Amino acid sequence: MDDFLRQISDLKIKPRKKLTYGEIGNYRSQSLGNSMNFYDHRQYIPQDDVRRIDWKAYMRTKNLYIRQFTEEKTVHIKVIMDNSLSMDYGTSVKFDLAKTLTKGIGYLTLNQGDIFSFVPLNNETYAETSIKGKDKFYQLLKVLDSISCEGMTDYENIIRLNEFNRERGGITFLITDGFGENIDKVLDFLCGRGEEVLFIQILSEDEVEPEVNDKLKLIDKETNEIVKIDINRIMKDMYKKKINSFIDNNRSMSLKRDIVYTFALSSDSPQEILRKTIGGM
Amino acid sequence: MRLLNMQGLWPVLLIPLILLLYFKKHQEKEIKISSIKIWDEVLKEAEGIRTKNINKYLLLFLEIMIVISIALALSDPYLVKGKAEDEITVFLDSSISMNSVEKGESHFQLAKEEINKFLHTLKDDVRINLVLIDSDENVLLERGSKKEGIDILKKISCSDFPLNLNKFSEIKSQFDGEKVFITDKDVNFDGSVIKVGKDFDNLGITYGYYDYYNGDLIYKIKNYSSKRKEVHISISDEEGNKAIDKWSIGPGEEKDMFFHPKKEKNVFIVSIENEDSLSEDNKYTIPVGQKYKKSVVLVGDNLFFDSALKSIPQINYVKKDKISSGDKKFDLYIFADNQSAENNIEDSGVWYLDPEWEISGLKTRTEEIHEDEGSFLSDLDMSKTYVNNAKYLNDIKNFHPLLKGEGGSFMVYGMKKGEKVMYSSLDFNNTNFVMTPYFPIVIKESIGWFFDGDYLLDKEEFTNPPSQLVVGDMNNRDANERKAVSYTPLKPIKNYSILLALVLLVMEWKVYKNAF
Repeated sequence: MDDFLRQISDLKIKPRKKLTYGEIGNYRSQSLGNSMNFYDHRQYIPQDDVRRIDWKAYMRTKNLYIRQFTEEKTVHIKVIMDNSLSMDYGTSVKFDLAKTLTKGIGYLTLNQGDIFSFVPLNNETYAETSIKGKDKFYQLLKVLDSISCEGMTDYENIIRLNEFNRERGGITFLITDGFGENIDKVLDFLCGRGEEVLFIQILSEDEVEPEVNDKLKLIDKETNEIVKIDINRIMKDMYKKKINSFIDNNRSMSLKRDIVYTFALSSDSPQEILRKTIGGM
Repeated sequence: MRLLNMQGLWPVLLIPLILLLYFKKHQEKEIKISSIKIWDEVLKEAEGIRTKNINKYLLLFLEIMIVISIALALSDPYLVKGKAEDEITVFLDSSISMNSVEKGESHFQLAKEEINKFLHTLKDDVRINLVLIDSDENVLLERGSKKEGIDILKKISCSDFPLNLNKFSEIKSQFDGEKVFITDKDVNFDGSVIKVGKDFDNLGITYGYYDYYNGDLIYKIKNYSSKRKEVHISISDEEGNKAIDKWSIGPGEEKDMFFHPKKEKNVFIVSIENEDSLSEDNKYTIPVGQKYKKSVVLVGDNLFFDSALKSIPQINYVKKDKISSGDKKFDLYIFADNQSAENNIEDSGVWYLDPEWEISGLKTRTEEIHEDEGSFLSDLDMSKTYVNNAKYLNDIKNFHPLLKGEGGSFMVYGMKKGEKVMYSSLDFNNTNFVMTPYFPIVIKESIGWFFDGDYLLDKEEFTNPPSQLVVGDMNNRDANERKAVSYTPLKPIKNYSILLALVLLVMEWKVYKNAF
């Protein structure tokens, strides 16, 4: 873990657009405030702070003008990490990679003084308390280590969360395998809330290139539904086509919504995945 | 079908293992996966594909068939058609060509192995006749058991004689039941033929002769193979002098060759230097010297005979006044001057030139001399040959006329006490016969008759190859053979089993490719 954190320590999670909402912090927002960055003059209106009157301008124009500065805000970075049972699969387990990525994003966020929220995603989705400050990283690790895969994937649960309804804007990482209904609705919701969304889809190698043969009884980990199948070469080819089209569909869905999309295999290096995802921001 | 090597069936034991693996492999496996959504879609889309199960059973069937084919190939299978007979006659070609070596084993050895295999496939109570065939037949076993046949096989070897098909045709009709002929030749046979050996890549010397008149060596070399060959020949004498020659001979061609040695030697040896299948016909010894010639003695005086005998270089001629008991033995005695044979002439031919005791009477007239048309002189035309004061011979029982006149025979030949004897009553001083070119010819032909045309001694000292490897027409089928009941022999099907296994392997691969 230390190596991983050291390797990604040069990365920075920066918003691509000016922030509209959020606490005072390090990033230029759309509002005017008390930063050192001069924005504009406007005519004095009674009840304005007299300390902001530009006396030099008054001497030149005999009119009272107020000096305006931009406001700097803190970015709120959220990670929605799929911890439904479907993530507990693969020779390299998908959930392990998702946790590592979440730790990395959390580390970067807290390190740059922003607010970090972690939202585990299943049919009982709840939001962990937002944290800020480097010293809270250990707390985050404890939370992540205690979490395990359970329940079913329910993307619409996110819409019901206060974490996203309370405030607008920020950056949201969605880390999931994509197996679930209505992921498009969630993406629409997040984009509509002014979130910059980064979608990391994780699949295991077995899911992309299945090595199974013969007669199988396939059991869905989440729903316990059963499919009995006698797999042959033609079926394998059909599966490969379908899984590729599933990945392509998620990619094109993200592109349409100006979402950064990254596809990862569960065996891929988390450092590379983060560089690919955040490096493009 | 009969299997010669039952131990080869061990791969059949693998069939239960294949079945076990097959059913284990096709047992339903339970796998938990992230989502069945995509597999569900695949299943719906693939509902139309129904051939898979059939293919998998086909695969199992093919796998079992492959194992069976391999087991069959290893167990040396033979196909036997027709009803089983109680008596089987095995004719084994033991002629010179069976000495041919192919891949380190002689054709005769291969033939013995084939018979061994064949005998092992027969019922235990079957009666076996085993006959060796070369220039003659040799019945080794009559109505013997299988075991006896197998034991005899171990002891036999092949000869240096050609295969005489005429003799074979006679002997085979004397045996009943199934007949099997094992040979390395393509011959017609009304029974079954087991052919051993594939290629007869051979050059052989078929004839050798020394022409004493011209001093030439004449020999013939035959190319038995199916390709044109360059033959390297060496001709050596007893002193080790050697001449080398090289010729090209077409497939199946027999070429006459000549060599003129500088000097007449005792022996010339013609050898083929090429390595070929049959080494037995690569050397031919031509004896030339006096010591190899048959000896002829003229006892008494006869100037004309003396001159004629001296002109025959093929014989070792000696003139003596009389024969005494201590004299060496001659191959032919010619008695002149009314002398008769006394001692020491057993096992030799005798020619009496003026045997008074066999002369019936004197005719005072002149008589024409004619050759007898039934004799070995029938090719001569002796017109205008006559004798004055002709004397005729008595009619001797079992003697045939050679020269005759109006009143009887002048010269007769025949067998007396098992030896060849000739009588002549011609007065050589009162005939023009001795002055004609026919005289030395008659003398030479007559000596040829005494020696059966073979003027050389001790032929066994030089075992030369025969002039033909097969005597008789290989494609000839007489009426009896055509009527003969056709018997289908044991047919080896090992190669078919291997072929079947390969075809099944290819099919299995195709089915496997389609199934997975």
